[in-house]
Amino acid sequence: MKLKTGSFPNVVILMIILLIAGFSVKAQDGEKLFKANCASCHKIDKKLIGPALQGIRDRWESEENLYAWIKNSPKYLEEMNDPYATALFEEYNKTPMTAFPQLGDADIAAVLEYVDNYQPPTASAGGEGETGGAAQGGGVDPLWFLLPALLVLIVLAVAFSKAIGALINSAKEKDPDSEKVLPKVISLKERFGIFLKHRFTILAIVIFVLCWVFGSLWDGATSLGRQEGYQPAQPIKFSHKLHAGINKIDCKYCHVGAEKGKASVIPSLNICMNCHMAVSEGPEYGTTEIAKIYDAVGWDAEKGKYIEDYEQKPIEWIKIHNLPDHVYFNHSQHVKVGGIECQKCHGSIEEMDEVYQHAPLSMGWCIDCHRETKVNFDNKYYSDYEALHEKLKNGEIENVTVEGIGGTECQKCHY
Amino acid sequence: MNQDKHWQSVGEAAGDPAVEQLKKNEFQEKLPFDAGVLTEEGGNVNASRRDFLKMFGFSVSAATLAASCEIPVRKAIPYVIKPEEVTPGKALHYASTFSDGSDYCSVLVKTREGRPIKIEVNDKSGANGTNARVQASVLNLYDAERLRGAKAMGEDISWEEVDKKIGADFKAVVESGQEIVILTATILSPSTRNIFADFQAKYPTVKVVTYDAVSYSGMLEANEACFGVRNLSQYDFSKAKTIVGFAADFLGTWPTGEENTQAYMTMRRPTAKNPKMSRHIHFEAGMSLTGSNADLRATMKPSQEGMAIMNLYNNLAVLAGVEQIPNVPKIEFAGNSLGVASKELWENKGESLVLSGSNDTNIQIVVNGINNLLGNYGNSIMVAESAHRQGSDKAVNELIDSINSGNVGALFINNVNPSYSLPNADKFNEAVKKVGLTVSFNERMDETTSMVKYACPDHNYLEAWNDASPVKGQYSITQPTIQPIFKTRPMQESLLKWSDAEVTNYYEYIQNYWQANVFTKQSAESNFQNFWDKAVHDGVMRVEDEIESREFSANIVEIASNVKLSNGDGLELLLYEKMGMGDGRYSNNPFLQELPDPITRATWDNYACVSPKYASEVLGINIKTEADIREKDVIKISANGYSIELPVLIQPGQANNTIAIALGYGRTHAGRAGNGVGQNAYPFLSMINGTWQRYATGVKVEKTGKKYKLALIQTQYMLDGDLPDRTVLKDMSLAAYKKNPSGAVEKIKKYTESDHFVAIYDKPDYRGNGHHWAMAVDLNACTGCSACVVACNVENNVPVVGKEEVARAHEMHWIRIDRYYKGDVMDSDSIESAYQPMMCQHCDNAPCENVCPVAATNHSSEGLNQMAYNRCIGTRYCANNCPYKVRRFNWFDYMGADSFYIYNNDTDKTDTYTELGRMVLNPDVTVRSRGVIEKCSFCVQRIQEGKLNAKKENRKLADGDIKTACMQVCSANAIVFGDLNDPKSEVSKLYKNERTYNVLEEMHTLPSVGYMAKVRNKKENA
Repeated sequence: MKLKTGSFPNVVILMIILLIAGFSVKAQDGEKLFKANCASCHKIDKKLIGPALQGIRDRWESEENLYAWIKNSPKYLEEMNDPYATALFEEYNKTPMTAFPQLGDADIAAVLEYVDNYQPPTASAGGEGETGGAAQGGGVDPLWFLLPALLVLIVLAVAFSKAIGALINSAKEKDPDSEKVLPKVISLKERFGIFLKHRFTILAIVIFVLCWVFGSLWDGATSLGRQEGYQPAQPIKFSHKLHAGINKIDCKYCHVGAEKGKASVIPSLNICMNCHMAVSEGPEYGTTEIAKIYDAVGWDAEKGKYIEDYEQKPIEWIKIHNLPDHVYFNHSQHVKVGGIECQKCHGSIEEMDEVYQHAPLSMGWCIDCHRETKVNFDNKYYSDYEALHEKLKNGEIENVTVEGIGGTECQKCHY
Repeated sequence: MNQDKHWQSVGEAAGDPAVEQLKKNEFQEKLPFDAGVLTEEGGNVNASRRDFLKMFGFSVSAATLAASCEIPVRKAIPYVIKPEEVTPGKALHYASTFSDGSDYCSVLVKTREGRPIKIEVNDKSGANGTNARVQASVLNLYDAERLRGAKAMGEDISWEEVDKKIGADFKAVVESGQEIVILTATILSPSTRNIFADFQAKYPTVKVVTYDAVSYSGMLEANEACFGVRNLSQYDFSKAKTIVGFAADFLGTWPTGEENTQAYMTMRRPTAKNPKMSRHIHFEAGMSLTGSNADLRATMKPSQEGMAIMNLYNNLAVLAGVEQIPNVPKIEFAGNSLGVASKELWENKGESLVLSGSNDTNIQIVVNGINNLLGNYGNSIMVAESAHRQGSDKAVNELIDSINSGNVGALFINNVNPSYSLPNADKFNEAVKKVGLTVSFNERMDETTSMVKYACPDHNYLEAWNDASPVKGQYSITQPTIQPIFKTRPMQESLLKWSDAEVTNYYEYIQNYWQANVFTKQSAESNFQNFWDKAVHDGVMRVEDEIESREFSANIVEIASNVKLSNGDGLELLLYEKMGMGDGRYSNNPFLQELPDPITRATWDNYACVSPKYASEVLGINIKTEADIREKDVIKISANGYSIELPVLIQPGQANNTIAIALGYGRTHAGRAGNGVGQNAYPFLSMINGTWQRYATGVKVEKTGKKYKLALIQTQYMLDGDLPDRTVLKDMSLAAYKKNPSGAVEKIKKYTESDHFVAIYDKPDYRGNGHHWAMAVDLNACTGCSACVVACNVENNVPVVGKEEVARAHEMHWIRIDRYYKGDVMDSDSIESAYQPMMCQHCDNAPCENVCPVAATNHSSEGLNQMAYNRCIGTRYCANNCPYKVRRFNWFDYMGADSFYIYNNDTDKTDTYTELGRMVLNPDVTVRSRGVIEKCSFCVQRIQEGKLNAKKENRKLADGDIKTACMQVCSANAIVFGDLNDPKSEVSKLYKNERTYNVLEEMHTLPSVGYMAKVRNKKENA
């Protein structure tokens, strides 16, 4: 069974709706209940903050006790004096389990049923596949294949017709009687005479073809080095959709450089570990992908601490957005000063499981935006542009674009 | 000949038609078709239309093939654990200290992603700038030829092993009771000196011998004799109204040359309201940087210095009414300059300075006597407080004797290279072989290190902790800015280990030392950790160190009788240091090798400078036609039993019958860049009165008949300023300035927008439209020191091209310092010099922009002349059309994989060279490829960064927020950059100064660089 992507908020909302409606929860909702209530402290097959839940029914003396414990464990500890429960309490640093008075017996039964039937996710999805692979500069026009094929066909046709003509002629020479049997030879002139009559049409076609060839060359040349749509396989199957889309983590929480400097910065692993110290399992690939972080940084998930003297291995991400060396681009200028949304250049990244290059990153694309984008002229830096402020005040101009303050000049980006 | 005319080279002064032609041409050679596929024998171009089509077809198909290749996969590898302070793409600055026994400078190290890329000035130290060597020092860090670990007998060895071996040997020496000698460069670090002291306390046979390649023993011993303390004096040039120098290069190669420049220039900025400036009279044989900046300069042969100084003493003694030195023959120099100097010094008693570059103790004592007569001590001279030089020639000589008599059991060599730089290096090398334990801490396998048994390389200063106290009360810290690149270890830690000290970590040792000795001298901070953190953060710290008052006591008359007198007959040899190369320790730094000498404008060599008169009369060189050609006559110079062959360079202003040769060349174990460049001149030094004198007498010269090509840029990129009204370099005398402050520049017709604007494009209107970047250069302040050239190289990834390429006029420097002379070329006493930094003028009506067929160079709304490298197709029309000749063409892929090495003799290289050398590149500046033009961009990357910071902080851009690299390192404040749209900015004020003009103003290029005319403090009516 494949887990659906983490939907904690949805479940909570659903729960509230259900509770208000007063419906009892059905057993097949065990998974949802587990995720909503238990998953933050328990895993089924391993220890997290609390013990692993697998085989829980066998460990407890009676199911009744278990239900009572789940509903209110401090009260249970106080009243029942159950040695198993006390031992459990001691083992987990005398931290009682949160009380769940809102869960009915049917709910608990559903959760337990889910626990019993739980199958760990398989690791099939992770691991395989080349990381990298060359970036492709868009698809190849099929005409590129057709044209040579056509040419070959024409050459073959001419050659064959000549050969056949020669054969027929020689046969006729040897045996004049065969003329009746053999087909009449049509000379090339007769056959292609039609083309001679339509010289201008042919000329037009030739010009058309030449234009097309040069046009294609031009397109090909300008798109050289551009990688729109480039979507390489990354060493870790990190999903922006899960992190930025579903879990709504702010872009700048991880990309710390976006407001500070030139690069938005691919997050260092210590940022990943802020959350992944606790979250060791993902909805899609289970533990395999997150384990790669642990392997790089030297985190012992079992013991819950860093391995001492571990030789850390940096993650070698494939760079998707590549600007030529002669272009200077600064994220902070655009994000902090310009207040531009990440999505403007990177596309709806919050919907991408696997990131691809959304924009062409061509100079024309940059310039187009610089022509349209209005400058936040309230920034005190721009008070030096008195003439423009005056015009704004007079209503001579409505706004100032980036181009209006020299944002399309060479040395704004090339130096 | 017109005495008011400026000229740049001897040939130009003498009227060489070839030089006139060079001035007309931007490019000095025809296109290199002489050895290509398109030529037949004889060099005629024989390419038919068919050949052209073939080549064209090939190029197109090759390009198509290349284009269909896949785009390579690029990786982005983030930190595993990112250090909190690092933001990739943002520079971090760390305060540190450059102190190598020769130069001292408190610096800020600019690092990017953990690697140092630029050295900047630490404002907190009060310094304005650094010198060229400090600027270039960042490349020393990435020198692949530093030792990569310890070595024993030339074989690699681990540090544990070497510690064991040296430990055992050392123990044996200690037990035998033989002397243990540390031969070191001047040490400014109090902690290191303390380690030496600890060492001495533990092992009583330890001796510390300090050795300076270019010795100041004479001065040190004179101070010891006069004041009882063996230190240098501190000169305050900002208090000196009259300065008299005798071969003293105090603005250039002296210790703290840049501090001196800064103070000196405060007295040399006359204004219309206060038209006063100091007066500088200089006597010397070779044209030095300092001499070239003097108001009155007279030539003096090196051997006459003693007599000249004694004459000056006697002149002043008459005025002061004290006893004269008897039996001193009278001597006078051109223009009665000694008499003038005496008179003016006496008029400015207590506000004057007399300085001598002599290394003769007795001469220096007389100089001290003069300053004492003038009452300068306590006013313009702080008595003996500077520790910048501590070397002793006597001690080094005694060491050699001591080794030869078998007294020395162990010799530790730290940061000195006596096998190269000692005049009697042969003797030293012989002696070293007799010592049982020899260890060198030098950074590379240099001449000395290859003589010793163990090499234990020290860190580069950018990798190490250290401290320094150059003068009393002033302390500074060196902090590491990168992990050690190679397996090196601080010298101090090695010594601490071998002496089984309690603390073997040098960092800890420094902290302990500071806690005990520096922390206690201040009261501002009560907590040591806070004090230490502040010291490391600021880099410099001043504390109350008690300064003893010292009284002058010396019997000048008696001592002066020991001064060697010479009548100055015969040919003499002067040995001097160059601004870039210094004593030769950084020979392997290509930035310094390619830095044109400010005076001779030569790169990658040393040579024999002779006066034009000597060249024509004795050597028989026709100075009209042969002075400026690159193939120079080679002469053999012999003196003191040593001889070398060097090319002749005709130097205006050189004393007649003297030859000047730069020290610091002829290295054999420096590395790829430095080996075999020039000839070693150290063996020419003469021992007089127990110290090494930097001159020789009894010199013999023979013509060899050989020719040698020098990479001189003297005749490259000369402005064509010959037409009568052309405005290139303007100067005037102080007297004229007083009469009419704008006299020098008012003849220039001021073109205004209304009357003369004829151009293809509209004149841009900058007012109220953001910024209008501009620069003001004060020709009165520029000494020509060339620190800006190196700073620009490092900041803007300007390639080093190598000697061959420089000789072909392919050098790439974005800023050049044009040096102009005035006067009669044959009369060395009449020569006046001036320096003019020349970089892209960012003309508002730029001739280059109009001719670019692809608009690769055009104008920005902020007044910048922009150059888009990726748009340039290399027609070089712009360079041809630039009247300032500041555009440079990339004839080859200078910055490619070959980096710095391929253009210098040796093409054998490994990946490490290229990878490591390229670490110094500034990641914010494009590395230019072959076939494009480049030029000064006004450090546009800094402009953009400054603007962005202001925007991010939501504030107006302040004047001074943006400093170009050249402005930032200028000790003299000669270059000021800023926004002309801001009426309060410094540059706006300087633009309105009455001395300001634009070069070639009459061409109506409307440059954005203003020059302020030079004022010479000449008493005569000139």
